[in-house]
Parts: sequence; C-alpha cells; structure tokens
Amino acid sequence: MEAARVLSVNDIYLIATGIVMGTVSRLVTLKVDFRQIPTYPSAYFNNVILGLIASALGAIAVPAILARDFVAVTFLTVAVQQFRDVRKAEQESLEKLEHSEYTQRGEAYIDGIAKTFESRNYICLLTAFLTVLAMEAVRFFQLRYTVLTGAAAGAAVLYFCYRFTKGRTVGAICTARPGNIEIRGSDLYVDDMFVTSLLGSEQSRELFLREGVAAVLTAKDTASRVTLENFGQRQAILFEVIRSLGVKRYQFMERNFATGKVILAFVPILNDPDLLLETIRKTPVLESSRKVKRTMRMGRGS
Amino acid sequence: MGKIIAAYITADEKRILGGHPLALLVEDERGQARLSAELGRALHADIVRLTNGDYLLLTEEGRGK
Repeated sequence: MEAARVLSVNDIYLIATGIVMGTVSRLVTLKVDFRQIPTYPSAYFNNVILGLIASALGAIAVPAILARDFVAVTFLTVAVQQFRDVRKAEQESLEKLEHSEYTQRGEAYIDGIAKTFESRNYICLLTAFLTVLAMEAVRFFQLRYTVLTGAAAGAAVLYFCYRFTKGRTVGAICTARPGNIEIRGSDLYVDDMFVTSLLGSEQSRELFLREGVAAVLTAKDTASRVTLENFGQRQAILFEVIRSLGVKRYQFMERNFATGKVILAFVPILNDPDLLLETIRKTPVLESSRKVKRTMRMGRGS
Repeated sequence: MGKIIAAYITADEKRILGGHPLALLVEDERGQARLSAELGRALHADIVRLTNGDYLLLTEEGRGK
C-alpha cells in the first residue's frame, strides 16, 4: 500500500508564500481607475479569485516537480487554457456592451483590454512559481529567511513583469491642448481646421458654441503619428474621453491630413476642459496600433 | 457604420427627382430651417445645410444617437 504523503510545515509555508505573493501581484496590477475596468465590485472580485487560483497553480508546480510528479505539472496547460478562456470571456463581455455605451470602444481596444487581463494571470502564476522556486533554493536557511527570500523574489518578478507588460499612454506620444471652436455656415472648425459639416441647424450651432469642447492632439514624431492616427487608437481616445465627461450630442474625431493633427470635438455633459486633456493623456496606447521604432527599422517584413 | 440620407429638403422643385431619399419641397427659407430641425429631432438625424441652401438629413446606419 502506498504510504500517505503529507505536506511538511516547510512545504505549507512555501506554497502559502507563493500563493500570497501571486495574489498580491494581481491586486497590485488590478487598478480601478477612471477607465473602470474591471467594474467594481463584482468583476474586481472575480479577478482577485482568478489571480488566487493562478497563484495556487504556480505555487504548487515547484513541489510537484521536486517530488518527480511530472504528471501533476501538466495541469499548467489547463491553466493556460483557463487564462485564454478569461481573455475570450472578457472580450465577449465588452463586445456585448458596445451598443449600450455613449460610443464604441472598438475592436482594437477590446482586444488590448482582453490581452491585458490574460497577461496579468500569467504574472500571478509566474510570481508564485518563482517565489516558491527561490524559497526552495534557500531551504536550508531558517524559515523566516526563506519566507523573506521568497517575498523578495516575488516582488522582483512582479516588478519586472509589470514593467515589461505595462503599456504607454497617449500623453507619451503626443501633446494635447484645448482647441478653439468656430462655426462657418454649417461647418465646424477647430483651430482653423475643418471638422464636420453636420451643424446645419441653428440649434446645433448654438449648442456647440455655448457648450462644445475641443482638443487638438499633435504627435511628437513620425512614428507616434502612425500610432496616433490609427483608427482603433483614435476610437479608444474618443471612448475614454466621452466616458469620462459624458456626451449630450455630437462627437467628432477627425484627422487633418495637411497638419497631421487629430481633432476631437463634442458637447459634453460635464464641461471640464482639464479632465478632458487629462483623460486624453492617460488613454493607453494600444498594442495593435503601437509602432516600435526598433522593429520599424528592421524593414518592411515579408 | 455609414450615413444614410433620410430626407432632402429643397426650395427648388427642379431638384426633386423622386425615389429614395424622401425629397420635400419647402419654398421659404425659414420653413426649410424649421422643418429640417423638426425632422432632425424626430429621426435623430444630423442636419447639413448645403451651399445651394438645401438641407440634407443624415442618420447613422444601424444605430440610434
């Protein structure tokens, strides 16, 4: 009869520290900011629990390998499948909400959000895994030093993974400033640049002149211009701005081919020009629209 | 999603060709402006005033405002 295998106290500390560090890594990366993704509290709670499960899988993997239980390690593939399902679920959920928002996020933005959710679960798993691995490496130390080593290793993994996966914001690739609204006939101009001809009624012109806001975005360099003028990126900026300020009527996002500037104009519910500019600057640069100079220099590919 | 011409409001009957979109003849300028505003509200349409003085009512395809 096979002898019962019981976890030692050290093993329990090892696994518990790994799970704690992995879960902490999810909590650190789970920001509820102006974008309100995930929504609070239900989706926030779901993500913490998913992070806990991912951490548990990562923490258990090391003792399983050391016990030569290689079959048990195959559950990591189940974890990978699970994380991919998390991405798909997030994607489907956001796509279903598209028609209930003021404006649409767009497929590129949804794809970016879903990928981020997936990658954060990998960070949990990796943090827990490397925490336990570091603790195993210094197992001969006193227990408290082993735990401290694990915590330090976990924090280092979290720092590097978070830094690597953290995207840039629009404020890093362009400047944003308020635009001057002018109406000529039924045409709307911002800083002398044509935006739309849809202001054909007197009421719309009065509304825009009285309550409209506009911003002009100027890319810092050519590579940034390619990113900024990407349709998905502009859609993401418009979405975030309109979600922050609300929209009474009209929303325009135009690019001026001659100057390379992007113009945003709408009639908000909250008339707060500072919040408008801050939201633009804090909008994430989408991975799908981002142009990395290093890879751009590598030729056009095949 | 594209735009659809929901109505064309003109003061010149020669510009009414029939068929789609709905073309309306309103001869005075104030009447044109009033009708386009009222229809715009009813249809949730954007209003464009052309340089010839006529009005176009545009609605969003597949989505309300």
